[in-house]
Amino acid sequence: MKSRLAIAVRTGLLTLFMGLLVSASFAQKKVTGKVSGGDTGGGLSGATVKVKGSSTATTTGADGSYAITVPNNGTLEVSFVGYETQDVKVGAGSVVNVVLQASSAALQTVVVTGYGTQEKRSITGSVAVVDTKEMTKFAASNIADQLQGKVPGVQMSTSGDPGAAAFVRIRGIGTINNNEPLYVIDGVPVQNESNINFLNPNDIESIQVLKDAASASIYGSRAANGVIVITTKKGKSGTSKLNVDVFYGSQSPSKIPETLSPTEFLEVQQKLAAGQGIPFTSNIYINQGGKWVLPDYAVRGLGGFLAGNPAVDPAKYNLNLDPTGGGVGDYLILQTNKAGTNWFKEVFQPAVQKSYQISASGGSDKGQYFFSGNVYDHNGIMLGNSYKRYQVRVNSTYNIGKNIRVGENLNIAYQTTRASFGNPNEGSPLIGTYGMPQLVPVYDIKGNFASPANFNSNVSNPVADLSRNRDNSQGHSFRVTGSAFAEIDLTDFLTWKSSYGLDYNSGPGQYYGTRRYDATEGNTNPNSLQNTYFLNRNWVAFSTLSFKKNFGDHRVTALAGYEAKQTYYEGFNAGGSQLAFDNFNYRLLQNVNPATFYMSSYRGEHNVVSQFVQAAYSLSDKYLFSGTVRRDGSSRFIENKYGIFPSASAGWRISKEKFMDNVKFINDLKLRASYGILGNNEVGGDYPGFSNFATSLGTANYSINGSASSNTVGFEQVSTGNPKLKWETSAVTNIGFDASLAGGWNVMLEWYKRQTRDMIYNVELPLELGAVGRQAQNIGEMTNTGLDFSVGYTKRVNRDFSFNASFTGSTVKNEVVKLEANSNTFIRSGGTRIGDVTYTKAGLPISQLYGYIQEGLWKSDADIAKVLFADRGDAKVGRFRYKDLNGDGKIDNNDETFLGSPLPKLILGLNLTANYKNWDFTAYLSGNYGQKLFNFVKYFTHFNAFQRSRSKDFLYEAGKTLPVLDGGDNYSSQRNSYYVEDGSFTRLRNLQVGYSLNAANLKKLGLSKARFYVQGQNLLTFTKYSGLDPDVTITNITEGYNSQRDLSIGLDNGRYPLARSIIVGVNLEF
Amino acid sequence: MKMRKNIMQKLAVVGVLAIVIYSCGKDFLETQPYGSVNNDLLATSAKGANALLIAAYSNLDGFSGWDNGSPWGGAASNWTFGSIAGGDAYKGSEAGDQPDITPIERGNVDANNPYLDGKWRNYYDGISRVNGAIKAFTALKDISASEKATRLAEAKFLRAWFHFDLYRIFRNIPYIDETLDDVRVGNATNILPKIQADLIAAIAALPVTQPEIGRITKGAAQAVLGNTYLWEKKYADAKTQFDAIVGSGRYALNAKYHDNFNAATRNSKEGVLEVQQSINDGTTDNGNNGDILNFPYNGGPAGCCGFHQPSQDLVNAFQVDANGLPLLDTYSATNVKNDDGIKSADPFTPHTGPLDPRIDWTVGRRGIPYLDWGKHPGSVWIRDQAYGGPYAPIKNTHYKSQEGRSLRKVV
Repeated sequence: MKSRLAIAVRTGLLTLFMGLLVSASFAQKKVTGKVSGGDTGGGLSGATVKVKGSSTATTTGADGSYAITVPNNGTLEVSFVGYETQDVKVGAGSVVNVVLQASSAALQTVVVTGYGTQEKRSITGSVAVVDTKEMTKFAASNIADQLQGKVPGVQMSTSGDPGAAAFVRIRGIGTINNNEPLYVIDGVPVQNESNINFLNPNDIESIQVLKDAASASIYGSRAANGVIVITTKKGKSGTSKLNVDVFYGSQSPSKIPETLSPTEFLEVQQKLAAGQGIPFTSNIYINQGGKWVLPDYAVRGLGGFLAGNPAVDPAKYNLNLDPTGGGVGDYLILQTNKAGTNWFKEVFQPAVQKSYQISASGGSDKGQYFFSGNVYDHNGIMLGNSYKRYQVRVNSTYNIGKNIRVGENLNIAYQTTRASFGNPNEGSPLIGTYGMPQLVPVYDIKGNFASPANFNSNVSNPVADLSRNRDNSQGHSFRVTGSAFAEIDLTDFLTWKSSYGLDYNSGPGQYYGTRRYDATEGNTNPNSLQNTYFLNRNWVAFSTLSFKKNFGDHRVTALAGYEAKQTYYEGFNAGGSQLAFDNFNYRLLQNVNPATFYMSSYRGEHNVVSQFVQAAYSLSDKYLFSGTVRRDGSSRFIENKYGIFPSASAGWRISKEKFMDNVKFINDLKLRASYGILGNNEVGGDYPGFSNFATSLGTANYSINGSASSNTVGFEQVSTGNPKLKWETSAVTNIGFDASLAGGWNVMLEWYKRQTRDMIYNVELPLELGAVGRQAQNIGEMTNTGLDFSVGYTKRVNRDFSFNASFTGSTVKNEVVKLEANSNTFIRSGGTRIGDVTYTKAGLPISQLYGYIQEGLWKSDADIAKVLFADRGDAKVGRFRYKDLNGDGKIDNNDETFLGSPLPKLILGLNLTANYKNWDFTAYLSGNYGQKLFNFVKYFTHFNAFQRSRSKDFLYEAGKTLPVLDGGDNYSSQRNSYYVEDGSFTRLRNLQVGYSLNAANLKKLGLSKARFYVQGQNLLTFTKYSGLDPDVTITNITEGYNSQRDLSIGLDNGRYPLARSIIVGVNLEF
Repeated sequence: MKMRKNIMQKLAVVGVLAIVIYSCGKDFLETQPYGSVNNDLLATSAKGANALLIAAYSNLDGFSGWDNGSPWGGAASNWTFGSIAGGDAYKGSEAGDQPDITPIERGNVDANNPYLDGKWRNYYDGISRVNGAIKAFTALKDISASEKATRLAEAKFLRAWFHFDLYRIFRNIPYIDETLDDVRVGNATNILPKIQADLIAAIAALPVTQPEIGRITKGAAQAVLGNTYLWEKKYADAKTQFDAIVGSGRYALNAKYHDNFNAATRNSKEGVLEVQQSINDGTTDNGNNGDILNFPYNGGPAGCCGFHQPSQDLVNAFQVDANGLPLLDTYSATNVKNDDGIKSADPFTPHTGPLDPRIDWTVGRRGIPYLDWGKHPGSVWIRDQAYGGPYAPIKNTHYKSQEGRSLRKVV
């Protein structure tokens, strides 16, 4: 068997020889001319002009001119970086001017799709290729930060909580079921996990987003929400590189809300009592001859005092820190802060973010390697919380002989999260910070945490809670992801590939509760300890046989494969309370009071087996066809285990047609259309088919023998199975075109329709059946139709200056077509203290905001009497006036209605890049438009809800846009349209300026590349939204049976706000 | 030779790869849940059937998991639907906390109220558990006839009790028994006769005392049956049942009124039907957590949350005449003195007029010893005096000397 290389070398030598021979034996002439760029029209300096088939070559001068000696009838090959290489036949004349067209290199890009690769020009589905070179220029904590606004149809949202998962939605909300996209990293699907922070953004070679059925159906199950295919870096043959990347950032809060000053708060409390018609009285404030003043000191449980009062004698101070003592004998004195404590400034502080990375890559014909190591340290702007990652990646390929390649991709990350903010809720330090009375200092007279207890405000000192959490609450994750593979070229057109992937994640967590002596509620609770441990082990093994052959103009590729996948998890948690000491090192489970000990463990698995075939055919690179069928079997289903997911697509490269030859302004034009079906089996549990019984200490056991300290085992039904449950499917139609136009324009437009059927939801059974668990059922249908588009423009103005602008946008219209759960046609979600604020109902988009329509305030008793003639309820002059929708003369639930949709009508992104000499400049903007948000935080800041401090509006807008102050008013705070705000925003997400050293300086330093940059993140946000961050649209906070659903989107209950940060960084290459 | 090696190499690698991937067993897609069992396994043994019945008992405390609503929503004491709706107590705490109780207090509850939901869910869950236990015991062979009869009688009592408590709150409700597969049966018929039939069947089979003190007795069933007759104004029928209880000789009045509420004297001779509570048993859910909100605020016992504050009307009802007899019609003509509007730091002298001594085992008020927690200090123990009044609940409060384990923090 002759080596192909040998043939190539021989052919090359022969050609060269022949060329020499030819050049020696024919007449020659001198040719001059100018090379210019088709986009700029200006001369191209440094372009290569070469006599084809010879070694004769020259480069153009500053104005693009050249001179070269050519044989008669010879051919010139003109090339320049960033332009299409052009061959020009030299005719009779001696002047040859050449206009080079800017290259649409993107078309040649090799795209990883499914189980193989494809050239971008032959893609017929909807695949967005992310320019990772641009993307990874940015320092970022996770790839979602970098992807934002870059891919049309992909919506991202991250909170400021370090290490928290980013929320990603591809083409909107496709189902009432799980909407998380599938991440596939180097061929290994990352299961049941939206948090891919273990991945170092710098290791990424390419990202493809598969948006339609034709491109995603090869992944079958879980591909219904789109697939994000990530490929990490590989080494290149013949090179060896060492890269060092370091960045350092300083973050600060982007918005600090104002709360009531101590005197304003006193005024508020007096007005609340007056509004209620009762005399003002208080334990904390001092009555001086009928006038209430601020106290100088306060003693917990006794109230406020003026200086000199014997009650505040520091000698009386006592703090019983005995962890089991329950605070017996506590006498806590604080000196009030009359100037006011700015709690937001105490809690939100500038924080550091830093990353160090070294990577090395290289290779030879024997193999390639890529290695990287990274330490990433991210402190949150909220006191005490942080995320740290130590990570190593090794990717290698070994060539065994000529036809066998084996290798591995391996990522090891150790992650530690401290004081994680978690899901936003009303007990969070953020909500607490709004409510802290400013009169309370951070520390009391002995330097212990001061308590707001005298205000009965049921908040606790957030500085105390967060400082404790820093040490007390930490979770660790040791995560190994990767795959080993072997690839064998059986013949020159058949390749076998097998891959074994693993995603192993495990780690301990420790959560300790120091006695919170400063808390208003629970201050006597003893200390407590909880230890947790989890292990998630997913493996996936697949083998594929691929075929690739050209028959003249006919190009055929085909692939058949088999895959098995297992997701296994287990874990335990145990804890107790009343440890004798609080010392960090004493916190072991055996040291809790045995009477308080508890423990539990869990375990489960989910298996999938799949077979798939894919075939593509292209005729003359002009007519493209492709089809896929995947069959998935899931252990989650009993009677309907298997789902079959077919798709077909076609493309027509119009620009390749003869009749387009004269259409000069179009370089490339492709029409494409696809249709296919995708599956979703995210039930919310792995055993939806079983009706089972279990014991439970709290809800099944009972002390039948009268013991006060033990109970007898009982068994309750915990699940109701549905053996008939089947795959949820999405049928996706996608029609679009890609065009590359003269002058540097690129345009993409796609229309799609996604119809989701048999949506899976855990349905509540008739209540009279008892709490026998929810039953997973296929209950509904949903339709999404939308447009994705992008327009790009690249211009090289001259040798020194070039720029690129790309604009992406998407719209999507969502409608729940059918919803039939237990004869209910709607689902309520978004539970708050004022009830469920989101409703999902057939005929409307998902998660509509719900409540009364508020129309100013009740002006007069006559006004009330006229409208609420049947029953005025709690309506009162000065309170919110609700619209009596049905005109029955009273306000009740029948007057509530839909108040708006949290789904953005339009999502836009704008990316600008420019290069001038050694400088580079980038700006990324993105925005969501037309969505409404339910600002539930206002319940705590704008209404008479708790005896907490509140916003300044509460005082100054009272009687205007807010109800008059009235301590008895919990009428105005009901769910109503006042909470609903326009959540549209435009955000300058990133702004970066970089400088690269030029070659001469690099050589002196022994470097091949050196770049320094300054970057600003989230510098500006333009919005009318009054909350801390309008980007809460896809924060799914639904918990329990139907978690990770988007049934309560639009509810803002106080998410960790994004930081504004300034980052400096350096990239070096040796 | 080289070529053969090449082919052999390829075949070997492909062979190994193929074997590894096809080694998944046939049952790869047949997985079973961990940590739970199915009804077939459970219901066919006496152990399993008993465990089903115990789980039904466990709903007596009004809490069966957060999916069924909060513990306080379905509380066995019915503090919301009983004393608050009836006027003995105010919601208490502050206006914005648990605002869903306010409509109950005012008698204008709507169907979305989570408290109604909690009660309904928890008790129908109890009924469902009872029906499962009845089915299991009925089919069970491996059990003595007397045990079977007693257990079935206990189950029928529980079914009657759950329905009856729901009847008292909702009135028109469906009656669900073990014969129904489809529970959507409507609520048009009066279910009291069915409740009574269950109770009569239970009385026939229940013993006067049970070896396990938490199990239902004949006396409990007679008491509830008598109670159902009161709702029908069948006073003679009711008296028959009550006389039978007294006549059993099993019961007598406690020497101290408070022994009825003190955990240390639980299951006393005065108790006919007691819901068993336990603490330090590995969970915080069995320690009367239906009333967990109902403690004084800020430094008082348990520190939270200041709900269920006795009303002035209730306090006034403890006023007596010179002979110590209640003022049946005129008790509210004058108010018992209280510390409303007075700071804890300012002086206050409690009411000096004659009062039934049981007041201070029913109502915590300023200046009077609050169990062994010292004198009630007045407004600093009250979350919002202007809103909830000056009184604190006391019946369900533990003594300081009994303080065991922390109670769940609730806001």
